[in-house]
Amino acid sequence: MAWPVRPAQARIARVARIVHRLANGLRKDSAAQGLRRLTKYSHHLRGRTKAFGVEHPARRREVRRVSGLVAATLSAWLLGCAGPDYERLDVILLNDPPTMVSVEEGFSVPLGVSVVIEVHPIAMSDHYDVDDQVRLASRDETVLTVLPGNRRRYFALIGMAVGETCVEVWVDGDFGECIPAEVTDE
Amino acid sequence: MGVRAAFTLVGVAALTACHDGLQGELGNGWFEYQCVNDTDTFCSDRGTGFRSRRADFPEFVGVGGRFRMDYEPPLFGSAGQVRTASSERIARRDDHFIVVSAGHGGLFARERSGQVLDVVHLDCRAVANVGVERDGEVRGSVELALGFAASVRVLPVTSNDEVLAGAFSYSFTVDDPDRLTVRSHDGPRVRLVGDAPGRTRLHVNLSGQEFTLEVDVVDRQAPEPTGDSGASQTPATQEPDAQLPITDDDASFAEADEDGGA
Repeated sequence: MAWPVRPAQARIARVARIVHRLANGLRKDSAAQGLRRLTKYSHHLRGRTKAFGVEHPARRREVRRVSGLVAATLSAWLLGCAGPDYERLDVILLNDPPTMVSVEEGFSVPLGVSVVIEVHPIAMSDHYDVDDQVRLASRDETVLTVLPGNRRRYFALIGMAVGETCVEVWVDGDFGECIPAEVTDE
Repeated sequence: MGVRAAFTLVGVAALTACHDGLQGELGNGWFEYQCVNDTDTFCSDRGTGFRSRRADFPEFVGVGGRFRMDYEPPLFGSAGQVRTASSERIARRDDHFIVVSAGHGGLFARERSGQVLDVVHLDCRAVANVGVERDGEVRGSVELALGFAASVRVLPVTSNDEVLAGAFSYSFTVDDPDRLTVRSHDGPRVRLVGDAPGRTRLHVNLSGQEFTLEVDVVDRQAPEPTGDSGASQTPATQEPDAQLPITDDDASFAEADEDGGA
């Protein structure tokens, strides 16, 4: 069966687009999501190599060249092109609760009180973009609930029941830390 | 151009300035306290009739008290439903909220998408006692002339005699029925008749919480409406038509007599 032969440039561009999409996707994935994405794209790339017609020696060389390009790109990305390394979360208190709350070294919220905060992730060396998605999630929603605010990076911390938990920080799908949180009896 | 801008500014100011209630802590809207019924001292104005809505906001709400809360978004803002922060402090019941425990209780307006639009906190206090208001002060005792009926409005108060908002259910019993009779009651308004001189206690059940009010029945020939009882008094045999004159000081209880009592 003769496969349609396309100009080498077009094929390389297509593979490069796939690699580019893969790299972009990986940047925003967690480890598990990244693995799934890699598996999916490896199938996709295998399909492409089949479409190149690997039985022909010239095409086989081309496939090797493209595969090498893919491997080099991925290696480069894995070695040095990953997103910034999370260091900490800067927190700004937005409302004025009637009782003492703490959002600086861990969260301390009295029972029944709602605290609205704005957060900014800080990287170790590089810096995060304003488009980087920040997600906060309470490990125990029955103690402290975290709800999204009406603007980007605004969150409401709700003291549901007296106890301790921690609030997970995710930046662009990467886990940053789990900030200790307590709900106190007023 | 200047005139148009001025009109626009006036229009925007008119549309945004007239809001009842309390602005949320994020400044994204207004929270409006609404009374469930006329047993809520905050809306009854203690004498000028029941209004379910008021422009201001209660300072304290009593544990066990019921109320409604509405959220009004700003111009072009998103409508939000009011939710309670913790059901251990303020719980949601059908169409109203009920204060469960003392402390600050957060309420927040939440958009359909789940985003929190604004937040407000109520100071929830335990009901420490009941009293009657007299000359701007809350007192824990009532003086009643022998043979006369008095309408008294009972107020839930904190340990510092601060009047608490919230709708409650009321029921009344007396220690000594031969000395004092509860002729009728309508929510916090109770009509008492002094049958024999002496001191007794009026027990007030406030949504399941028991409190007492000291009542002194005094043997007097002529009733003194401005006395310490905090109530206008009429001869028990003449009510409700033949009421004694009520001074300005008694205005806060005038409405209690208007409802006729017995």
